[in-house]
Amino acid sequence: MRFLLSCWRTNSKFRVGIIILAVLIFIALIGPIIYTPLLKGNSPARPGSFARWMPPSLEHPMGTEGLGRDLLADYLAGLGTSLTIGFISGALATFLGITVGFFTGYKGGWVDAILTAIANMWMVIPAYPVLVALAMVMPTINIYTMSIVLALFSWPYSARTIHAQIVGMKQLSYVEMAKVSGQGDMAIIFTEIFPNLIPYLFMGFAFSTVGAMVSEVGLEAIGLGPANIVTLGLMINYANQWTAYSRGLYHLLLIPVGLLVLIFMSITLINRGMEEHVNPRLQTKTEK
Amino acid sequence: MFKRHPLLKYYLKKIVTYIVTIWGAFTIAFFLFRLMPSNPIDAWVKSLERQYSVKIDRGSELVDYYKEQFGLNGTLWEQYVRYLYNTFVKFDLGPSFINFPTPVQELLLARLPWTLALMGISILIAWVLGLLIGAAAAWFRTSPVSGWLTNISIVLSQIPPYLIAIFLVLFLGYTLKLFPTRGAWDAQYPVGLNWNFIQSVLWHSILPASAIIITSLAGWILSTRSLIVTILGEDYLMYAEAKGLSPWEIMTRYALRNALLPQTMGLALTMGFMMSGQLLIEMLFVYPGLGELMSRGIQVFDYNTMMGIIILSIFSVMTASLIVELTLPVIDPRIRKEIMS
Amino acid sequence: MKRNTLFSLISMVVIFVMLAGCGAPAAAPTATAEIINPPVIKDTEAVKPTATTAPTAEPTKEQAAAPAEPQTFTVNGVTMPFGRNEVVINDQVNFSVFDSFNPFIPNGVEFAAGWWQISAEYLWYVNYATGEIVPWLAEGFDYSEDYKTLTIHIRKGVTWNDGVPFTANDVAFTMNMLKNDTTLSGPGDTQYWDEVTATDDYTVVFKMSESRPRQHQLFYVKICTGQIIMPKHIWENQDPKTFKNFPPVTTGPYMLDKTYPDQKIFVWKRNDNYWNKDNMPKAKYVIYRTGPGADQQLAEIQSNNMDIFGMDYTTYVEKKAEIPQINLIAYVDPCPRGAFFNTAKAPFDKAEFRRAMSMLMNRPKWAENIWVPQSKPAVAPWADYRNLDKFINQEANDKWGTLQYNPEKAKQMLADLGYKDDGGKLVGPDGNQVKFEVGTPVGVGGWEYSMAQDWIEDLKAIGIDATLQNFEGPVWWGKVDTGDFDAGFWWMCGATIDPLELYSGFTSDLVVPIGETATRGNAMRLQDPELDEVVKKLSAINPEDPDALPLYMQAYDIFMRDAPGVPLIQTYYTTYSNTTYWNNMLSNQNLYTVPFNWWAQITFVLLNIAPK
Repeated sequence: MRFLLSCWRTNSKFRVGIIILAVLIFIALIGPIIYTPLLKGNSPARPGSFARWMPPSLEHPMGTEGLGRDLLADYLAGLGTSLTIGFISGALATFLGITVGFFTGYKGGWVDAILTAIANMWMVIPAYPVLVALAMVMPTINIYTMSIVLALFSWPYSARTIHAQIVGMKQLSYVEMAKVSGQGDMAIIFTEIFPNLIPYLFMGFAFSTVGAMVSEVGLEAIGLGPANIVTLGLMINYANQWTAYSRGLYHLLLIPVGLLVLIFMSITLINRGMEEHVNPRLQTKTEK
Repeated sequence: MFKRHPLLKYYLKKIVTYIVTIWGAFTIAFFLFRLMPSNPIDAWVKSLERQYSVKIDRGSELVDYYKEQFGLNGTLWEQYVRYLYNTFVKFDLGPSFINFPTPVQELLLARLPWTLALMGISILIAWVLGLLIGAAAAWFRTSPVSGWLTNISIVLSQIPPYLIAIFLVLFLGYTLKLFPTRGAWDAQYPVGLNWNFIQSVLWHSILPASAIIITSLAGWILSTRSLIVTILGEDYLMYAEAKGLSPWEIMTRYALRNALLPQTMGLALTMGFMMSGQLLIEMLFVYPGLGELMSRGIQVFDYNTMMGIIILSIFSVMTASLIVELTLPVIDPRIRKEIMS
Repeated sequence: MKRNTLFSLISMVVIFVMLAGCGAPAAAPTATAEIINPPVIKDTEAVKPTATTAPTAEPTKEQAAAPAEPQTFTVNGVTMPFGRNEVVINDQVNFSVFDSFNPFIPNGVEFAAGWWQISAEYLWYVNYATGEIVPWLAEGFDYSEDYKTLTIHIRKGVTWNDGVPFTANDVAFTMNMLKNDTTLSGPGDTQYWDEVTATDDYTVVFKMSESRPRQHQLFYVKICTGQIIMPKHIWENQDPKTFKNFPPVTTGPYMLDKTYPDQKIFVWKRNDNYWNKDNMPKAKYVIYRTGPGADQQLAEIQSNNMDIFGMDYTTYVEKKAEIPQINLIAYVDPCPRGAFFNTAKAPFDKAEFRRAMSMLMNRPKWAENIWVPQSKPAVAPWADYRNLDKFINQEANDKWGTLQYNPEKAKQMLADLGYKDDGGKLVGPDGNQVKFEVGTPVGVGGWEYSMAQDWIEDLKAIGIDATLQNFEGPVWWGKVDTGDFDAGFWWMCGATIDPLELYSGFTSDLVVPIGETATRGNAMRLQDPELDEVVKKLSAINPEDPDALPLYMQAYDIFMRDAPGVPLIQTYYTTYSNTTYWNNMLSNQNLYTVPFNWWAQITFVLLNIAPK
């Protein structure tokens, strides 16, 4: 927390990123309050609730779309689910990555060698095609299974970052001291190493979240999203099914794409802000 | 022997890692696909039934015959050993299903040039530009232009090329009608080495290539800049500057050279990964590359085609990184020294 | 399997959409269209020989005079060496096979590229639009009294396009090839044939092991295509598993002229030695090509670069005024959409439960608000064709109420079965909440998917924990065949001219245990001795026999009671034709054959249109 606070104080990119993300999360949170009255008791994803392609009106501020649903509700609900999936899978991937990275980095030896080899093998397999195939055959896709699958393909990256940090830190004098003084592994990890890793954990989380969301959008955009909920990626897919290009309904594409770009931008800015905070040399302005 | 030849040991170790990683990735991919609950043959028989709108009682023999053709007979373990043998000993990836009985390697060869041309050239352009702009941004790191450039790069670096492509298609393709939005070339020109065809290919590649270039350029700018900024702060450069070397000499002789090594490594890896194609981009632009082939393969669960592309990708990533690792000690004396000690 | 809405995002052209078992371009329109219901199919044998039976209807619209005749024109970037007014252009999906015309191996021939449709010919055509069954390469058939011997009389004077006469030997050769090698893809019927022989040049005799009074229907073109016949003199010395059959020799009005693989075009030219001189087509060429993407389509329509094609209905409605030369044709597909249940798995093992589930399906709403163009709820497990009306058992419809949307009755039936509402959860007799998964091979946002989605909301409302998942075709059919599913939404390609086609797919001899692949049908795993009995009796009786109708009524009653699958709504599709260059093109008012350019019945359009 202290780390995040000091990032906020010192880094403008971090601030901008946080503000954009906070606004998006806020919109997603109050979304149900806005769209519930519009839906007359239906869930946002329910098709055929209204007549198709109604023009904007008081009842449907953005009109209805090709499946007879309220367009505004689509986007509000979609923003929420997209963010949720991104954060859950980001957190999962970070957790997996930390565990593996910690373990291998700290222990070293053959455990390290084998796990690193497996991580390397995993990483050279092109993830997206495998994800597409996997998503197609998965028995049920909901927010959680989707997050897990995405996490499975992004953990090696955070594992590697953490691993490198740990290996570096192990050699540091204070860790050596602790070892000599007879502290147990767990104690050393939690008292000496972990606090110094916190910035990297946050960065790993931001990085994994972006990574997971890139795949998420890629899957949803070809219609492989979770069932029974709306996501922003899915709205891109629908826009195409409704031939938004040739009918000139550009907003059907621009709104979901724009929201996604905002999400990616804000998380990247936050990530970069943290990086610059840890490694001030990266900064753009302060150097002399 | 290794004691006396540490360099040899280094090479051997790299080559062994290379072989083991390729084998491991191959194995993971193989089982990932085979364990998915689908197979192309049963699905095809089902579609025949619907086509004839009769029940195909002959189903089982038909299925058995084609399972054998596609290497889907026997236990999973037998399939694995056979496929491993065919791939690495006979260099035979089996018949494709989407274009039966054309061998997968033929399909790959037909698509490869398109992916190579589109991805390869875009990645290369982005890399060269990224290196130059990144170096400039590092050198003039105090100027506001550099600051803005870096900020824009940061913002763009993590956006999937696919989303950028939608923007480009919408504005440059539909609204302004500047560029073609689908296909790889204008069909009226015969494929071959003639100016019209080449021109048409370039014209059609502008939108997909831009989408790729924009995002990867941002990444290269950032990484080059941070590499060089780090180097510029090193003591020996301060010393060199004090010694009276011109900024240009410092830049080219030290900074750029030091940044070049990791960046080349990065380029090699990116080039390796492009073999699996930018699936979404190729689908959006209906581009006849490997990614579009992959999407067709996935649709009918054509194991052989899907594995073929994955193997090609694994192989090229690993080979690219092996080449870099083997040449590093040759071109960089510091690494050589590290190995020797 | 070709229904891949998964990738429909990217382009309509990349994609096949499965309609009624054949590929067709996707469309997602709205609003209502006037639908023409085909009349009754007339009696099989009483049809005159070679007539194409098309009315000489006048064009239905005021048409602009055809533009001045150009000697060449450009399509998909290729400049064709003939005039635009000499050719009919059919738009289709993304082609990938250009050098092979072998229908017996996987992907051995491009399906919707003209060969199946306008080059190959069949023994009989079922023309749903006029209600006729048109004998074409065949003149007639007889059965022996026990229906174990079928004799087909082949038309005299038919020739292959290389000049060799088409005879009974070709039919016998093709059938024996399929009978002797079951690894070739062909009909399952071959197992019932003891012997297929050509007793003379114009007579083929099938000797069968069982009574099969409908065996000749194998040679009907019902949906898309029928059983195809290969020229013996070309195929007899070839290995059918590797033979490319290029260029293909056929009997039809058109033969392959040229393919342009890079530009995705098949050019078919008129066979000037076509045997059917009275019906010589007027168009010298027919083009099947991969059509433009939805984005460029409108511009190409405005420049009249296509004659028979599919387009997005909503776009058509929006742009109608700009393209007055285009006819809209809305047509009832033979396959109503359907929901299916795995009757070997609880809770769907009880017929009452299945019927209750069917009563939670809001068919009227789906027809009105989901299907495009607006459709009608199904009243029987087949398409709204007049020839099938006589097989509807209205009494059974009323008695079981299977197709009525009636949540109250459904709740009552569930209560009778021992299901209880426990704080918003529907708890079964076993004490657990009712929970199942609904699958569909149709992509997210597809109409079948959306109907299932709406059904699930109704299920949740009564406390059932139901989830919906779409699968790629191969995966889904794999799950269905092995019984690894609870319920699914797709299409009910049951009956076209005879409901037995539907019922015979649900007999218990086809059932395999869950986990094994049902290769012979009845993946719903229904086991009902009563239905078996009726199907057995029906199979051995001529459908025209007066004793047949009561049996049909009984089968209908059992089917509605057992409800292994239930029809949802009528499937309406739209297709379009261009009147700029050709008179007597199809329209809703002038509909003389099935209007889809990927059905073999489209041949009749080519035989009937005239240049302006």
